Amino acid sequence: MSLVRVYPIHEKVCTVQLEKPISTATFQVVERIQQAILKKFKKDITESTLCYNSATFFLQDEKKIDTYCLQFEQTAIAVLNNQQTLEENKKPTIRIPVCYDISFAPDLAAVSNQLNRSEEEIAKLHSQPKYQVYTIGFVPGFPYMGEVDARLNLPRKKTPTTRVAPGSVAIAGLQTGIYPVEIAGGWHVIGRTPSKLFDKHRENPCLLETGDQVQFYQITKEEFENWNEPACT
Amino acid sequence: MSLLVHKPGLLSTIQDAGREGFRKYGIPAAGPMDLAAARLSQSLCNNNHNQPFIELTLHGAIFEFEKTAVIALTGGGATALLNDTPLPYFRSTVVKAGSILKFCSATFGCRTYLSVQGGFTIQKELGSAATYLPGKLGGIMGRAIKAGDRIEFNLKKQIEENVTGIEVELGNPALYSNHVTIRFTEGPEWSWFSSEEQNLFLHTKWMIHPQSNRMAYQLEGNTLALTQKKELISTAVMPGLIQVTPAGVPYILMADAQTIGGYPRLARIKSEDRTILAQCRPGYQLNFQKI
Repeated sequence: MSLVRVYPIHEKVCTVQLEKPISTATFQVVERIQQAILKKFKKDITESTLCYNSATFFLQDEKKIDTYCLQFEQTAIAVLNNQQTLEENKKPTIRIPVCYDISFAPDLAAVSNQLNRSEEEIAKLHSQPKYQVYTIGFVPGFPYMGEVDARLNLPRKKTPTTRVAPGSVAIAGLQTGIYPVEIAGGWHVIGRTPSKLFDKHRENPCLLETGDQVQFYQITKEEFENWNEPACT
Repeated sequence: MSLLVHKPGLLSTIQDAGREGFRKYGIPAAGPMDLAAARLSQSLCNNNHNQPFIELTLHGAIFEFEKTAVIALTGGGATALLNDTPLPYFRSTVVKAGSILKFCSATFGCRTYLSVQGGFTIQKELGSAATYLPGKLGGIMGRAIKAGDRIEFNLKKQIEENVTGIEVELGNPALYSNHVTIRFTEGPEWSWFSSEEQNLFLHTKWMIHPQSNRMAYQLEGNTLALTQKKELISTAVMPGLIQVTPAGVPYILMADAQTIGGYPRLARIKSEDRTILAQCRPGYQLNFQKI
């Protein structure tokens, strides 16, 4: 099986997808492939996104999509064959406050029951690792991050909650995410952040971007309630 | 002075050419479902393609013009009455101040495009006036049009009444029939489906399920359960792709589709045929033809 698959998803859009499982290492290779393609085909590409093990390119010209697919594949293979050691992620780590108090964590008690671990332990296990933002999607500004400690691995809820509060920090499988707006959702809500994930009036509407590193830190209920976000930039 | 909404109809939203450049934040382009009809309504008003217009779904809307305007209706899904007199689609018309424009039921089609000369005056959000309901972005405070809304026209110059008389017809089969053929090419995961499943997809008379909207059309008629237990890692998706859920139900992604998805993508619909789909309403029968 070849290591990379390049295919159109629209007459002006194509995706380069690695046949590799989700991991920070896979994501970093995809990031490098994206950079190489963007550098080489700068004039032809209007927009590009990343998602776990794939990079997607939006093109000016719809007539040559098959040619682009072939050329992008060659560029991707060249990157894969280049055995340079991976550079350290240079992006700064973004610290996000999370209150794990039960009043902001409607699913924490159930999660604690299912995993047979105390609520404090869950908060500690969740806030310890540094997470990679693998993509933004589902709703504007929702970050998909990983990997969550294997001890917190739970399948999604069978029935989604109709209304998940904005700022809710949730887990599902080995992933963690934050709900930017009130919406139905099937992940287990174990805390809430006072930070605003998405604000269409900010110059950068999203607090997080694909490729960022995230470190959660615990705050108390009082700190949450008195939280003042730094002025919008 | 403006367009006063007496009744919004089933779903009416402000759209423009769409919101490009924000997919990295999880924001799809949105914009009109039927791009060809939307563009034509703009051309009939001498507008550029990016001026805001209204997309109406089926019938029920009643609007009052508080000021004289040149308007054009394209698409389908309703019959229009201007002061109780039938108003033909696909041409531009001068509508006098005080007129009432009403959309009654029709047999075929699904979406009407209403453009006014100069466009509607809508505050852009993230570079576009297009309403993206799931993200509460664009349009009128990110929501659908509702009764009592007053939508201003962008009348900077004298209206050009001489654009009337242009009459154009679009050859969209969904405006004349509830049984249409949609052409597709293989989707990225076409080969994940067995030849039996592929044939089942090709030979089923699919029906558009009532649970269909600007995000996706659900299809009913058969189930295409993947025999191969392979998992797709979530990746970018675009309007026109057909995803198949683990329950075997195909969904056609439409204008407001999310930017990423994790279901295998069986097929990719030919771009021209997405305008046909835009005019298909629940209950329409679809046949898929591979190209």
